[in-house]
Amino acid sequence: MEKVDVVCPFCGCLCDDLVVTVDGGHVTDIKNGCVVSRSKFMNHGKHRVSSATAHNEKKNIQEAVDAAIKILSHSKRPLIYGLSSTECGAISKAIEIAEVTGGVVDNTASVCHGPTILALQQVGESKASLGEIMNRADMVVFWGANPTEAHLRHITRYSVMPKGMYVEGRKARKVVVVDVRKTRTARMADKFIQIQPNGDYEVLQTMRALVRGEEIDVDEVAGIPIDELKALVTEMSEAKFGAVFFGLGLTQSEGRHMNIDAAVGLVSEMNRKTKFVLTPMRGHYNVAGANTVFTWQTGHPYAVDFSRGYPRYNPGEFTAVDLLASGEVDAALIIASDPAATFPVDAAKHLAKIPVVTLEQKKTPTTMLSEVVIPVATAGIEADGTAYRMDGVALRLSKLVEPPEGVFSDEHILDLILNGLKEAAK
Amino acid sequence: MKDIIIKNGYVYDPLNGIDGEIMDISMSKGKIVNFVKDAKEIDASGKIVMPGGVDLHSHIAGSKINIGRLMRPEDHRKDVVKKSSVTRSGVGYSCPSTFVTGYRYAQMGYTSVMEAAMPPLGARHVHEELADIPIIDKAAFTLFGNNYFTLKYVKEGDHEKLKAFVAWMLRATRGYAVKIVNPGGVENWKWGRNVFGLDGNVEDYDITPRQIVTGLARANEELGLPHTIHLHCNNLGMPGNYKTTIETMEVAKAIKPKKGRKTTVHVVHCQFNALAGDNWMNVKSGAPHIAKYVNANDHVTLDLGQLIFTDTTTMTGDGPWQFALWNMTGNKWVNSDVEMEAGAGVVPYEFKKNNLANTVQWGIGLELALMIKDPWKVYMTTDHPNGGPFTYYPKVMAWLMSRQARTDTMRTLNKACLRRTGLADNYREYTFNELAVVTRAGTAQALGLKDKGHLGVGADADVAVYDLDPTEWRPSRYRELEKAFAKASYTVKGGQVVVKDGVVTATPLGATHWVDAKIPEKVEADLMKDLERDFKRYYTVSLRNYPVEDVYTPVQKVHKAGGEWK
Amino acid sequence: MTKIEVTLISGRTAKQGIGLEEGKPSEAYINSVCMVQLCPGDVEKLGVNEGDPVTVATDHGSVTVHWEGDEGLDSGIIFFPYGPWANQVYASGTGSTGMPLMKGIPAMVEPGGKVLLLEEIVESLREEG
Repeated sequence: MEKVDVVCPFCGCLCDDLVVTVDGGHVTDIKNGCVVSRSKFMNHGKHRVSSATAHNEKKNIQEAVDAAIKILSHSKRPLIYGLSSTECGAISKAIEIAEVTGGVVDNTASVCHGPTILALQQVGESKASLGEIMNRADMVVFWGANPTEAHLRHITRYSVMPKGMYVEGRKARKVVVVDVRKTRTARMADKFIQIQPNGDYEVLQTMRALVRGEEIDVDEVAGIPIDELKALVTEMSEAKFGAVFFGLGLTQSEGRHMNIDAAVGLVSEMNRKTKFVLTPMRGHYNVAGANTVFTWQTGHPYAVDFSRGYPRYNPGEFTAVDLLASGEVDAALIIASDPAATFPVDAAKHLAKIPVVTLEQKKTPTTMLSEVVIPVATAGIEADGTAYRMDGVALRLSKLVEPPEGVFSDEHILDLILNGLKEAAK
Repeated sequence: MKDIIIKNGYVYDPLNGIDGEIMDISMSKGKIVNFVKDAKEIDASGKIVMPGGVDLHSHIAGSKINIGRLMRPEDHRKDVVKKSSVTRSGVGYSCPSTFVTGYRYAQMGYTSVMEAAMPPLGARHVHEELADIPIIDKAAFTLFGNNYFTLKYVKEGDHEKLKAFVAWMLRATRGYAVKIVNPGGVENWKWGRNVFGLDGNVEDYDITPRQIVTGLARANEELGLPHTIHLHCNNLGMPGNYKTTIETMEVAKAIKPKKGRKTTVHVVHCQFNALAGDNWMNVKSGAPHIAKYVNANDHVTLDLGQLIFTDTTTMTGDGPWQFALWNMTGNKWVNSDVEMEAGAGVVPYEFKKNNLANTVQWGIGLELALMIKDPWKVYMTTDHPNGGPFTYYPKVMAWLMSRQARTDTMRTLNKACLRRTGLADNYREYTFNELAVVTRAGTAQALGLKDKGHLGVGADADVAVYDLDPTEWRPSRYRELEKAFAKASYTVKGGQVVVKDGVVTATPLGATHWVDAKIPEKVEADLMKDLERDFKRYYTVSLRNYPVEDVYTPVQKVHKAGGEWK
Repeated sequence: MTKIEVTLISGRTAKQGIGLEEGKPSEAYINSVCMVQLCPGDVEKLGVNEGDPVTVATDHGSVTVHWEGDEGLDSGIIFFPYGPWANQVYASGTGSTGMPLMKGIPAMVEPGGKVLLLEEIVESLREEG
């Protein structure tokens, strides 16, 4: 049986045109998806956590849930983390668990586009949904982003190749890539500007000054000749509609949120001359959803502490890497993420010292360090729910097949844990 | 759920002609009834009893308000809300979190709130947030005024398709009403431009805002939709714009209203569109002109958008206006354009007493309320949070009902600026009956919500009890009025006590109201062909994934419509 | 055997994506992240052959991985895909932003060292210090 217009649960593109063939309760083919999407759908049954475990012993789901409840209710400073690769119902439960336990809840934006959010909180952001860019952009700049490796259909589905309402397609768009190395994305661009690592802040501020007609009294900035920057600024001013897509090249190098602050400033300034927008290339398919749910329920997008009975927000204090590296956390509940594989070693090491409860589909370094592991369904394939695309558009994920025997959704398991914690609190 | 009887209160139920009579209000199974059995008794002697408040214009759910929340951690720190055994924690002030939004409206005795602007592509998001707002009934108004299909059908002059599209889109987005924001201007903003009046040019379509408003207003009435078009006029925030507002009202005058009502347009947050003068230095009140027009015409309703002197957050679907505000203030600015449909912008803003223009604006809102004679035409809002947080409603009520409250505030303002409004010479004071009209009876009537805003048999059992004796109260005691209306003695929602002495005691989930207007099969089939073709070409989501699924309105109330078709 | 000074940047690759969706224990994943990309000029300077391990060291830590050539890199820049091997060399200081520094980090690369298996790298997280 073929299911059409299936939403893909991998990256922030959240493509919704997949055609998935389901036979005898298994996914047997997928069309339209990129190679990573194909891997996710075709391999969703591989390397699955075969049974819930607690303290290295096989347990049934309820026993594992009970062990999780025990760990969290005895914890003085629990961290709940992850949430970008699951759907919004689960995220909602995770937040409530943090509120009930007085712990901290954080999501992967913390180590991804958290700095983008910090910049937004300082200066704002001028953005548009992906279709606006598809329909109108005659100039597209990828800055510190490499969609040919990380958002594989972005260029073909949204930003460059499509024929839009006012743009004939690839030929009618000018594509510029700014990066520290010549990536595959750079090779398909009309112009590649190589920038020295950690030079983005100076270059962006220089460009802002140039837009305002200021004279710059150096010959080059971060390895880029001033004339090249002047030419780029002119091209941008002459565009009818420009879009800047930026990635972790800006958020993870020195300057962090100040790099984005400068990029936002440049784009806002360009709005005085023509039309310009910028979009962060959100990595995981529902990290935008995690920020969105966090924000409407607590007022804050990530790094939320409930130890005083109300939400507090302070990146650097309540962000997962800092909490783990400082050793402040004495238990962790990890959902839809693998911090042992993605966090700097000092933070990852702390996970080995404290009891960790992990909800995961497959074996990962985090499950290998966990006290309790609970297998869960794959949202978007084995469980439905809502996910938010990189530009904030919400779409419904489908349940195409049943999860493995005895395996439930993240939301269901978190609900069991939440109810157990509420009981324990009485 | 036990029956309830609220005994001996002074009841204000304008829709049923009750003006301060002492009577009992009985409710059973969520409805107002004549008789009850084994009822819980609530003693309301010496207190005011009104239908639960109905706020017809507020920004409480969806990407715009959520951007506001995201942008303003500093606002949240001012107002943290601890959890209780019954309530979740959160944050308040100008961009409250969803749980707190529901609690605080209920604490003021409000039981129904309308989200004023929903971009269709963001409808799923709006409904997710609405489902997380406890207690109150709610609805969302779908944005139409800059939608590709609206503009296309207006250009083509295809009125039947326009109607079909409106009906289809309301159903697809689970929307309640037709919202229009700066018609044509937000579409031009997609290239960084705007329109400057009803006869401006909507560039890529060669049509005018006048045509957009006419087309949608006609479609609205012919479909028999419960509310009129809900319209944010062109030229918001520009001194001299009162002229555009009156012109816009005139456009709607030519439209034949649906059977049973006289109105064809509701103008929103009129204060921002009631400016006279040429620039921000000589800006003065255009309220007298607007009031004169509204007093002489029966087809218009409006809401105030009253300004509060505080640090708040502006957020509208008027992208170019928000860009202008960024240029004026330098405050952080988020712009958010939505493909094919709409836009939005968010900019924090502080209304200051020593800001001369703000003083005039403050005066304008109240002038509108006091100079328009018929309270059934003018409703109390702050366009939350644009004019100020909704938690300031009791303060606005005090200004309406007490000349002294106004005087005490005016004393702190620049007199020369006040002279640019007529407020200092206006001695009118609203009665409790009029207050009930502008905060519940009139709004419910304008919205076409037949079971809200009144306490007649069959109405929803949404009731507010305020601890104030109307026979003893005098306008000089306005602070007591503020206190009483800030924390209801009782709020009953759907026949269940949800607030007692200003404290939330229960958090049932209210219903999401939306309109299901029928379209003849043939017209719908034609429409679908257009939608299928154009979604494929121009949208980045598939048509199949676009309409909001039932799961997003777990508790709903569907209103049927359909009206006349050729 | 030469040591070279480089600037380290990290990031995603499509192969890493394919691999992680198969599963972290899979060969596809491990091969995609237990490696670093070097420009051909730097490969020559290091004097390594195909299949030789290289050790990457920053102020914070060191790890041994396989290598792959990439012509898009300039001399002096290496690219390390996100994963448990790369994390060995990052410091967790975030400057109060919540975000560790994961690009533009000064590092040294030299030939040699022992490549740890996934299980071993994870076990090493249990060690003190």
